[in-house]
Amino acid sequence: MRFFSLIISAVLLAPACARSQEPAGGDDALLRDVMWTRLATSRPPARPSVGLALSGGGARGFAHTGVLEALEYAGFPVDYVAGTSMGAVIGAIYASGQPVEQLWAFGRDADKHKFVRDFKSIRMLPLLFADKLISPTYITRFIEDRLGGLTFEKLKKPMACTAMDIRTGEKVLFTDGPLDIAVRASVNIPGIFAPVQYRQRYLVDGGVVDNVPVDAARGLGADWVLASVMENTLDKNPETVLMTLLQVIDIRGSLLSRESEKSADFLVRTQVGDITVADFDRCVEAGESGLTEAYRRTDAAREALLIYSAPRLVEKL
Amino acid sequence: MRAAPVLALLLCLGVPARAFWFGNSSDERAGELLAQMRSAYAGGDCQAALDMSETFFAEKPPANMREAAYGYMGRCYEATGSLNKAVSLYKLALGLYPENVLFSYRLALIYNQSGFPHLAAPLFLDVLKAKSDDIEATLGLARAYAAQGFLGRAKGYYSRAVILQDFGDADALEEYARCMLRKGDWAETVYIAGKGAQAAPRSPVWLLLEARALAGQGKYYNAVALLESALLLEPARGLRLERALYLLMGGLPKRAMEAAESELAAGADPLASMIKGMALYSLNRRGEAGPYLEAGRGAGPFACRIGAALLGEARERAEDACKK
Repeated sequence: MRFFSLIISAVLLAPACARSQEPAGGDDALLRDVMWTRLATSRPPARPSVGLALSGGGARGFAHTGVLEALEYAGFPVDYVAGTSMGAVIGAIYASGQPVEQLWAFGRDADKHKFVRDFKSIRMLPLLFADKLISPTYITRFIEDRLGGLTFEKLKKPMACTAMDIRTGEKVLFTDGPLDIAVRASVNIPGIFAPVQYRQRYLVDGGVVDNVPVDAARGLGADWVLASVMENTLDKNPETVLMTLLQVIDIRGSLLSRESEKSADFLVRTQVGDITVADFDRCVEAGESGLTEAYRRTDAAREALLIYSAPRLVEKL
Repeated sequence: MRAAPVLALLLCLGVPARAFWFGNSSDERAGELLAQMRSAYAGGDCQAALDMSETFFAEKPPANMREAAYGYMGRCYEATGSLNKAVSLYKLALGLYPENVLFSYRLALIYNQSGFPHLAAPLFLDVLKAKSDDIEATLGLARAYAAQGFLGRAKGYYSRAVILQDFGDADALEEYARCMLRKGDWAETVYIAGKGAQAAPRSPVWLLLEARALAGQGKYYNAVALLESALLLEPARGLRLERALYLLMGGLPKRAMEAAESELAAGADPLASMIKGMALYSLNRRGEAGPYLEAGRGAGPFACRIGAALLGEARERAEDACKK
């Protein structure tokens, strides 16, 4: 009986590069594939502008890398990028024009990067005794090395990233100025790392107020927004004070995500299993999950964008 | 001399004792049964081979014989459609004989065909560790990666497979080229399509694949020219309509409409109707486009939604209508 389900799945799941004289799906797929060539090679205003909203999620957020790769395969046009926390890191590197392969390299080496030490060095007792928040030296250096000197204005694609002012609880949206400061603020875990002081604000991780920045992508000018979010299957008690805090922030972010997701035009939700926000040695695993999920959903995403675009696309032929 | 009778007695006792401990006579019987299983399998009588297996194992055969029997049984389960039994058997055999790559290979093939490429990939890798030039395992791994979306890795293994085949297997070349289309790797698609055209020159598929690679870059006029060459080899409806679509996407709606009309002259054709409807729409003749777009919605669920979008139908209503 168990294998009957295997066989049924086999019938339902079309092979990725199936052989046939026509695209799998016959006339419908032919129409979609040919229309897609037109959309993918057009620029706004001949087609609607497309935005990406990349959620937060710590190490799990590396799933965005796989999503970006699948979108590249499909020739998915991306005109605007918005990111929160890890989504801001991935989004900023992508928007700066660095190839996706560069992101994979970062994922492969993530556990060797010294910024993991910022997490590993967190000891709650000294933190409580000293009553002083940590300055994440290595995270700061990592971001400065990759994004230092860049401004939002210099990016290849317009980008926005979110943070929160810890004093007022306001959402702060960065769309101009130095990129490294904005990204640093967006990944800055509240309660552990010292707030980033910038423009009279005390900034922490934007995931607390806007984990899936769909509105930010629209604010940049996107007509149609694809959101990439992660879902995990964690059901264990966090073993340390730090992990408890991270999990609370994560749960809060997930609750916020559910609302924001509804406003996206298309959602890629990657299941990342039991990978936690701090599992930086499992970045590649998260990325591969993102790639598989986005690839599986590529045709549906293309159809959704084509249906939305059809009147403008056909009118401008 | 006194020891001679004792020695003779020990030798007499030794024969059954050895048979008891090491299964000598039983081994012979098992060997015979295995030979019969092999012959039944080779003769295509899998049921007979499977029927013999119970008697064979009752003889408590040695490990090497059991290993061979598992191979015949597994493939017989596959041949008789008992894939669940084949999977269980191969898993058991792999646990007992982890070095035997036949079990890895067969199990990987089943996983690939059943839509579990993530389980197939590591098994194919095991096979390739033992035999790096195994073409079928290389192709199997390429398929497993492609099915999961790892098209970059798939490219590496497809490439290796077709080189090992000296670009002589048209089916593998076509599969590879389609995968590269999916990856948006236009240069590789065109290169492999060229190799395919050398392997099977009378097939129109190579021109079609090259045309799609060109259309993917927005080079519709070149794609149309290639499809016209393909149509000389095979005047198929699909090729004609794809040409019409390229004409439309290339900004030649009147010529696209003519092509669609010649299909419609032969009878109702939803895709041809959709092409004509879209061509009229792009020419700003929306009133005339309406009936064609409506008829075009019959081409499939996606065409149905596209038709609805162009007709200005509310999204919720279109979703309901197109589900039906």
